[in-house]
Amino acid sequence: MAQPLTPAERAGRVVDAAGRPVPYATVVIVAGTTPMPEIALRGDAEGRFGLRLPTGEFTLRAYGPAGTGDARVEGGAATDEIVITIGE
Amino acid sequence: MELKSVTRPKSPFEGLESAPVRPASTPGFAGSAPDEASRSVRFLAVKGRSGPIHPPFESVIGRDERVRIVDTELSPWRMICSLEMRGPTGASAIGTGWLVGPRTVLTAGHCVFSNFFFGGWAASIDVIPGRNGFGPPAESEPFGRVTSTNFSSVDRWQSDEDPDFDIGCIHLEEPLGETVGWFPVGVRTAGQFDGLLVNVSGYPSDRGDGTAQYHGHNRVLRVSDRRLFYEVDTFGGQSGGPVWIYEDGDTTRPVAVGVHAYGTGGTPADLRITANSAPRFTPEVLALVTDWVGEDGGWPSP
Repeated sequence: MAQPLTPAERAGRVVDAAGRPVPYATVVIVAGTTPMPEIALRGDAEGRFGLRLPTGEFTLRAYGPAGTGDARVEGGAATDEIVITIGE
Repeated sequence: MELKSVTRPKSPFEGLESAPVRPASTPGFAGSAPDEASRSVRFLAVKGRSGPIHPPFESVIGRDERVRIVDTELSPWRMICSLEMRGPTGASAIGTGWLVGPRTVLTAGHCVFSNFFFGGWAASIDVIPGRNGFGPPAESEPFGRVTSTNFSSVDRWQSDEDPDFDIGCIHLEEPLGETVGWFPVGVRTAGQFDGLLVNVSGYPSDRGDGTAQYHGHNRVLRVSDRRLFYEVDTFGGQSGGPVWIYEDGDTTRPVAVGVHAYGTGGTPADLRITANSAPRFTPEVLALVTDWVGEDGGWPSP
């Protein structure tokens, strides 16, 4: 079966070092094997965000009041939740 | 190449119109709100060469040279808008746009249509001209905010999400541009960028959490058929911001020449440069912009 043009939405979450949600954090794709635009995602009150990623490897960076945190993730068909920890 | 406009459908399968090529610039307007010379005008780049190229680091190239603009109620800063986008499933994102007519905001295509961020068209976008940091809206949003659900983009962006065509438009019900003004848009040849510095301003997420306007300027490194590549520092959230120049040393008349959309990762490797980039205005793109402004009632007669 051919891979769908756009993968399903991945769930993501921004948390602090204690695992608590970071409300309204922003998330940016700062590096990747495929060009991605300079947009910034905004998480909700529970720190949740969602996005779709093309095939490749990407680094996501979250910004919150306590600082920043990075997560390296696989794109494409991967479905696991993306968790970015701020202030580790 | 003929480009076609595509618009977020109010009903499925809305018809598309072809776009004729038109003259090489659009009118600008400083707005009717009280104005004076911005103290930040000293940051504006007119002509000249910047310092040496620094080692790459994401979209901030070398030392971060962005400066915060604090008098955003003045021109040209007030023509630049913070955007708050929402997707149909509740996804939120931030970006930048800028007025090109009384009721028309230009931005990156991915701010209005993105399979990756919204699963298609954005559902609604709040437009906040001259936003100025945190605080009560009466202070931080000097011209208020309006919400739009009416967007357009380029057919090649919608079909392929090709960075060369990453341009979009937000149609407004309210004539915000009559108050804050709008940028003229110009088509310039590659040779006309020789020796020029370009200005980029927008609302990044890494400084001010998308609420404060930051400006940078630097040199143009390369001009391709459809893109401008420059060393101006930017970051996520500045997507959709204007890339503009001043000609003949006149800092009262900006001319927008591109729509900022990509950090260094968006530059093709075979160019062997570290640069951020923007789709540039070509005659075909200018024709689309003219059509979009026309859909919103057009520019007033001179």
